[in-house]
Amino acid sequence: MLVPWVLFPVLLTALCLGCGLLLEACFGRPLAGLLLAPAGFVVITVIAGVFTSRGETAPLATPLVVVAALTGAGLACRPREGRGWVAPWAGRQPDGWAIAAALAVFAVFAAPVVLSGNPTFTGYIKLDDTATWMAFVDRVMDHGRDLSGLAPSTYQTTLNVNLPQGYPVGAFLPLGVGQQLTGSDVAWLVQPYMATMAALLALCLCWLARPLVSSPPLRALVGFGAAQSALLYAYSLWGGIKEVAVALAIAALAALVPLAVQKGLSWRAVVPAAVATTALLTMVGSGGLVWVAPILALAALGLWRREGVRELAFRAGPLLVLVAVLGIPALFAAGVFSPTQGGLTNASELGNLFGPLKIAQYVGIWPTGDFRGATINGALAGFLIALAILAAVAGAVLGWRRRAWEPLIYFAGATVGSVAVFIYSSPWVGAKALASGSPAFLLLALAGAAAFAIKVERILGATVLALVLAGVLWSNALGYHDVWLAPYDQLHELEAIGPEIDGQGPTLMTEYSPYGTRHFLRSADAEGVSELRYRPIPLREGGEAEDGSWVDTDQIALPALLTYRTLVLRRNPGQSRPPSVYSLIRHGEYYDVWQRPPDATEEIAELFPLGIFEEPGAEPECSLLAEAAGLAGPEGTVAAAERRPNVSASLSDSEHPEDWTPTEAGSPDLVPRGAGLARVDVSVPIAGRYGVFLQGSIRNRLHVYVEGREVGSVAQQLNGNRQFLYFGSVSLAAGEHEVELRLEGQNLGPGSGAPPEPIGPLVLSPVRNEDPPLREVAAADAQSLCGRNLDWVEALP
Amino acid sequence: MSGRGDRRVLGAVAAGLLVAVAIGLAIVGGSGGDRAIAVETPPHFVDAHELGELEASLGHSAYWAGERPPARLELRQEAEGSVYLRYLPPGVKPGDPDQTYLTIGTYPVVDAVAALERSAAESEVEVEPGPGDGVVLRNPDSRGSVYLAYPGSDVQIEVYDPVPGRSLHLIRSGAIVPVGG
Repeated sequence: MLVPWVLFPVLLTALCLGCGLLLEACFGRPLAGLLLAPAGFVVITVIAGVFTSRGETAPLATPLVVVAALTGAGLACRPREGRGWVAPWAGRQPDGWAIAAALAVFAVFAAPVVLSGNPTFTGYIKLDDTATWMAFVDRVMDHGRDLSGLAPSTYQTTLNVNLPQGYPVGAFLPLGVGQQLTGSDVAWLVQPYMATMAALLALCLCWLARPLVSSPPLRALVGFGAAQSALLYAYSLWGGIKEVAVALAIAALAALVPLAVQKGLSWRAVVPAAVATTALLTMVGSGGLVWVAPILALAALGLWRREGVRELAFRAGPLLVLVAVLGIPALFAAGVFSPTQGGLTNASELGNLFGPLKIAQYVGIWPTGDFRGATINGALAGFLIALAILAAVAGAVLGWRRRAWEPLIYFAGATVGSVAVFIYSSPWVGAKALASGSPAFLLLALAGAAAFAIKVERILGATVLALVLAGVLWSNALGYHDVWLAPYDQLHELEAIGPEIDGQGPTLMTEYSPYGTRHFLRSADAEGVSELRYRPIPLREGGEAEDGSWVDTDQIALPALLTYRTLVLRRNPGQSRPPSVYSLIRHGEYYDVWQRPPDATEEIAELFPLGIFEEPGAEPECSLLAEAAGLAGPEGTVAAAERRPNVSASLSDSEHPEDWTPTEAGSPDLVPRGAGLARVDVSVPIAGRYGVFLQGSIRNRLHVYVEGREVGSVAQQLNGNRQFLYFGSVSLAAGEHEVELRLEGQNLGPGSGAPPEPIGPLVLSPVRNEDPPLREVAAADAQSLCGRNLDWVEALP
Repeated sequence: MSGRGDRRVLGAVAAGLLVAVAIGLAIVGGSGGDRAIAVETPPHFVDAHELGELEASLGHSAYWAGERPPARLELRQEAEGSVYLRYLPPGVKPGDPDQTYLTIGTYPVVDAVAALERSAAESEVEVEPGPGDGVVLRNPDSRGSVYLAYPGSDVQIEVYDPVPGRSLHLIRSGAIVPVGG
């Protein structure tokens, strides 16, 4: 927790401050203290964007960012009259309220992960794009977009369908810099990165609210609320790194552009705006022009009206030149009109959305656990949204009267850009654009209410401010309560496995695990059986695994399976022992790792699978053994994996609460709606030690007891298709045993309120099956295996 | 009283009204307190009066086929706003796993007609005109299940009846209506 949630944010903020000071030095005048860190963030994006645009220079990106930050800090240390130096922060008046708002925003964005007790990330299963972002960071910081030297793998395929096609990566570069400096796995930095960006956004918003709201505490409240627009927060809960980064870049651009039109400055006045513009284009490619163009156009309009066309040309020229110089490397590396930017305009491209979002979500209030669905109280949500719109109108009127151009330019630029994308692009891209622009609307609404309270009517303005803010916090509390947390312990185990099998690929994962294949096991050239395969992985019954599915190794055509030297298999009572050439080299809480010798691919003539899902063993027909013996030949042998039968119990046959219902008639599962206790009897045929598994996913803690003794408990474990929760093992005598499942109710923890997932059946799997003994007999003696419970039979010539 | 004082009083009254409306909507909307109880409910019997209250709390319409004695209405409500009304004959308890009874589901779906048309396109079938300006889509995966949506509405209705053709007949006859009338 300390590295991701303390060291990383502190380090990134320090780098931002240093780079902000460098920008200040280039600008030639003091920047507002609140803008130093946000300005530094865009500087980092631009520096890293330039250097990661080519593979040869990519390794220089992080060192140069550090040098830039140190240079900025050094240049800000002015010589004191007499002797010594004046520190960079000397003479600045820190806005304690704004800093407090930024810290509070950081806490809000951190809460879903920090309060879970693990440095995990959110949006697990719901949207697995985060796995792709991790792959980008892994690759781009050292090799840019150069994919040469990568062996075939899901990691390579992931990168290959994105980077050469020009997917913009600017939003991930400051994360990559921080990752390289802290040494932490990037997976655990995703949420701290978004929380840090949100805090910087709050600083920007406090600054932008300044012309409308004179009171520092009220301004901080405005920044605190606007930086956590419900839609942006919702995106941060499913890996929306780009949306948060773009939101920050738009706000930074709006805050820095006015500097370019100040009177009496040289061409250097445009440097901050040029850097912010370039950063935005580095993050989203040429699509960023939808926000850049209106913001710059409004500033240009003001300059033209005030100073005339000559002064406008004097500023616009250097700005365009600077943007071209700074942005061309990254823009051309990304492709100015990249297919990954332009191809998402199809009106039916919904991605993971249920349908197009409502434009009302742009307001920043949407009380629901899942922003893709309806609000939980439409009438109250509508009332609060209407109130926010009225407050924004008041903000616009008051801002116009007081010539408070910064918040108005920010609102107009962000809104024109976001709404244009929403209307003309696909629902998927449009939703992202709304998320990134939404703090602008909320800023105007909250600042409008605050200004109304200060200048017009205190009680009414304060009430509107409080109600709008309450709507935002209510929305985000629901998002927090329904968040989908990634299972830290499970992924941490994959993180540990990666280096252990480094270079021992190719590796196959039979579980749908994008985080494993695209990130944690990349150095072992991992491929997922059901996603982004490089090689065809045919199944015995024909075809390939459905996207997102799990398959047993027995289901995979033998030659295809034997291609893989290493198998990383999720522990699952339905998992067969891999073929005899594989040995178990690692047994973990969640994963078993099997490996064959590097050159052992041709030793098995055929493998005859037995059993079904949940019971991957069976007694073979003696005729099948004869067939195996025939294939093995007179000199050959027949091998078999012996396993004891699993014990399975349908939960729909249990005593359970009335509101725990099966997903459909006759299914062995239950959807546990609320706390409760289920009891089921199991009949154990053979005494021994059994692992206790339950198919499905669980959010609130579920305890399992056998004969009144707790075996274990699991919480916040979301599983993919056909995966099981594991509770531990227990020694059982042969005979009937009572198993109890006690589910705790909702609590205030993150993810506790999301809809329940089905659980069941319960499976007791003999521990002996985890590495079942192999029997190998001469082909002539194959019939001696008749009547035994076997996992499979192999013919070995 | 001075003009400034009047304004202050008016402001306070307006503020009080705003707060009162917000509290009222929170109570009527049923979103305060325990969401598990208010939003997601296990299957249980309801009468027509309770259904009227349900629609107010949902924030969107819920559809049914009217009262059909002697069948009793079972309500199941999901957290995301989906509502299932099932007509159970006498002697069948709520939560009964048998899926052979007339069931009407109402699902919150943004721009329900467009969503239905998309589903139809994906399944390479066409929507059909329904009652009013509505559109109908026969579920290609389930013979007993037919979807219905109306322009401008954000709810999708699914009518399921195990007897072939009866779902479509109910829809075409105009029997599927909002519980509030």
